Amino acid sequence: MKEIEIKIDQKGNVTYKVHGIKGEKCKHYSRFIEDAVGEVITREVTEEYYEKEEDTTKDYFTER
Amino acid sequence: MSQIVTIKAQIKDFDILKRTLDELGCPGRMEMWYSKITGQPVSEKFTFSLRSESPVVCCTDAFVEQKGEFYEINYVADGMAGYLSQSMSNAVDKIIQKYTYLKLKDECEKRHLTIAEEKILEDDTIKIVIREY
Repeated sequence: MKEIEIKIDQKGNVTYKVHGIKGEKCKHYSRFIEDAVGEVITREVTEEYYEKEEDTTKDYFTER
Repeated sequence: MSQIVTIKAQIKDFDILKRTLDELGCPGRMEMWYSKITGQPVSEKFTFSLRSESPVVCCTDAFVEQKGEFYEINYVADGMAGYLSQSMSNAVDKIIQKYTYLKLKDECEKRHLTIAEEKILEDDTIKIVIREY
């Protein structure tokens, strides 16, 4: 499940958190928020960002 | 969670800004502004009436100015200080918050993204959750 939690504070500034997407795909998935809202002030990546995505293609072939 | 990002709001979409003002009950219109000295027309500006109820009830003329690719909300603040100034500043913040909310909703609709959760928190922060299965 992919999830983005967005909070818009009283001054209109936005903080968002992305769950369930790893690596560069995470930045691509949420890029539209940055383009829509304004200037990025801080960006913090967590451990999940560096986790490798499961290789589902490999599983598919090894199971056969 | 894979990343946390903080973004400073900037107004870039004039149509959404107009919709914001309509929804907040302060619709505007294009008006010609004249020089106080020569009486000649200086520029055309989108003008509206800026109202606030917190911390005090007040109202003043406000206008939208384009600066490059962004829009700024300015208002006539002659002699304003203290609570009056704070009220006007709060009113502008409220417009920017609502604008950002409408802009994000608009972008989600364009991308067919589902807003699974939406609520206003105790400190008036708006929370939106986009979820995809």
